[in-house]
Amino acid sequence: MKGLSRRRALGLLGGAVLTSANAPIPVSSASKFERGKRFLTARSRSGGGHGGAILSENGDLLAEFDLPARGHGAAWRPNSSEAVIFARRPGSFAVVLDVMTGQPQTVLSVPADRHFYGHGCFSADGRILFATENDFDGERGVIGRYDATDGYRRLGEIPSHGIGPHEITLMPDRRTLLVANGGILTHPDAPRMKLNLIEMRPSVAVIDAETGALLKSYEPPSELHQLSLRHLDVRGDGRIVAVAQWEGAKLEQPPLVAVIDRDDGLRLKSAPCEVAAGMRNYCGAVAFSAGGGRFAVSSPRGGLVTLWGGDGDYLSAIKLDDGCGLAANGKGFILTSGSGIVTASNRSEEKHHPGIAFDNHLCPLQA
Amino acid sequence: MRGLTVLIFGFLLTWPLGSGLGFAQDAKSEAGPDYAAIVQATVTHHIRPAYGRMAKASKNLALIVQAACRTDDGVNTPIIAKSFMDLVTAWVAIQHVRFGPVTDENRYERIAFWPDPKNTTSRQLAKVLDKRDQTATSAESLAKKSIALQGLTALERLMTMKPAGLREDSVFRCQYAQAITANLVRMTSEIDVAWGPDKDFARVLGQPGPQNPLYRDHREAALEVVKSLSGGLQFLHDRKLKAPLGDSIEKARPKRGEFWRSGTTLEALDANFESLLELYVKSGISAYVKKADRGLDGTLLGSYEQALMTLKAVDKPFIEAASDKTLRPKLDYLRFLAEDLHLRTSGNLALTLNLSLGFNALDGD
Repeated sequence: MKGLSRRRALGLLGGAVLTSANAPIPVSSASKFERGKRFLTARSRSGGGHGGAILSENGDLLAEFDLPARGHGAAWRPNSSEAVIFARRPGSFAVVLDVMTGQPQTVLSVPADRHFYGHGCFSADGRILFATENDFDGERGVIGRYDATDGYRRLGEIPSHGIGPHEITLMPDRRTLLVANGGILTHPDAPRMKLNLIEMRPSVAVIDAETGALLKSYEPPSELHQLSLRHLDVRGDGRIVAVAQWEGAKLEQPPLVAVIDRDDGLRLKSAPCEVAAGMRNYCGAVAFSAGGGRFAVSSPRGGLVTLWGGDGDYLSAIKLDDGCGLAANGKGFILTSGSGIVTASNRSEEKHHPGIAFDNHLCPLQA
Repeated sequence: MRGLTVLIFGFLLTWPLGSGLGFAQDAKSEAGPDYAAIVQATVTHHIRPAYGRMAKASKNLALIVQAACRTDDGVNTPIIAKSFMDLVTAWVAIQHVRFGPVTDENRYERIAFWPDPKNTTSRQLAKVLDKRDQTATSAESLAKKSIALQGLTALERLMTMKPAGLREDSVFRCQYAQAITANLVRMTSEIDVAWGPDKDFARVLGQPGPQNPLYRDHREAALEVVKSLSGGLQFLHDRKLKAPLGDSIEKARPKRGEFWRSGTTLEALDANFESLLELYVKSGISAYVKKADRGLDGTLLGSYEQALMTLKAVDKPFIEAASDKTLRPKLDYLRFLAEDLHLRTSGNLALTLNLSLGFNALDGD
């Protein structure tokens, strides 16, 4: 996909949508949509068809659409019926779609010397899309800024103040961005190589969305500098949770969860030993519950989703093979897996979608 | 580290000692092959011998480099080439194993830093040579320097660059080369020892369970083996063939090939196909597939053999062959075989073994 021109990407996409058997499934009734919450996720079909899906809060499949390659994270544009879904890193496309129908509308692409990391978020007014990107020749992370009111024209970029920026979100003050700099240097020409494991310096950076100035940076202690913080969430009072993938020795069990407050800084949290083993030193996603009283962490390699109190105290674990996508839903969480399962954190309901693999993330559509 | 990281030695100590190989025997799973047997055979007949050969080849190269440095030609002397090639092929033969001791202390990247899209190695090397950086002349201090400066890929550049004009430079290059080989000896010996039956990793791999930090059951350990096979084939296709060959003969970029500077690319490709075939057969996977899906096993074995035969017919160095009208089709065929092997291994083969390569467990997302 590298270097794919905008026109070609559109062509690919249009063709796929028009000819595919997986063309958007018509929405049966608008009321079904309006009643509850919906979630956007990337998904693949067995046999390799990549695309995305919109799920109801009950785990029903409301719409599906095709993408030119595997997708990853998504962001809902406030005050609109639009959302953006990003290519999996090191992809170079993102697709804007109508969340009422699942119909793709626009394809945006990065400059040839950048690629997306798979995540983005909007400004509070929905005007600007921020996307984490790799300036791979400059060996630094950047945040691309796109004007959603002008066909998603790229306005420019601000630094992410770290290497390997991954998940990004808007802080409750609506003026600052929060980004997890995983710390791992990669290059699209060496897709499996991590180029700087010895020098890794992951961080969670708080950045002025307007000027790009670094307001605050939280880092794990130096002896845990190989703790790649990649996913995060923030709740209304500004408390942050960030979760990690450990790049150090496999037989060590470092804490994988970081709770961050403005006053107390970064505090690392571990699950009890026997649960920690099941997390396989790898977290794929994190989200606070609706009230912020709990958060959920997925560990797809271990097939485990763990629940934690808002202060970072471990509560319980749920087994879900290849489970990764999660989001707050009602009083609990909605969870998805690579084997087509959508379930609730209290396991009250479970829907199976054979032939579908849900990708790492679930994006709430708060339309 | 101790304060924050829970080392799992407590867990390892409480583990029952298994058989001499470090493997517990348990009942066969109801569906699919005997996963424990696949893992055990892979370790015994593929992984341990390969790391053993690599440790030996490193020691041999260290001696040869030492000897070469007593001659006037220093690291440029052709006598190093053969031992270098032996170590390169020994490395490539186990490069697909990306789990276990080779991943500790970044050994994997320190042994050979490749692909190196920005030529970091040459840039950093130039600085080291320019100021005759003394920290590059002992294995201990070199081990703390940049990954790119430490392994086979750095040594290859030293061996193949224009001979130094100044005596001091040529002496420095020799000291640096000896530090590299001493560092390689240390790393490869450590890996070899760490795979021993009485060591932690063999037990972690061979005795899965709910308390095991890496593997829940034998099926998950066997998945690691199949992921190595599939990932090795993918790396072989994507990086070693597709990237340097380009879309057409005009678009060939053979210097993207592995170890092209020393002209070892074809030998490395040969070792690569050979070792993946070895893994497929000696793990017992081939024997199981033969019973479950005879056609698939035949196709896979046939493709490996075709690849090895095709390589034998390439009688010019890779960087020439990639743009040679007669030889190019052979390399294109090789690429096709690698791709086909990868797709069948990650698809039908994994299915036949009742394994899923995982969708959300991919690295770093």
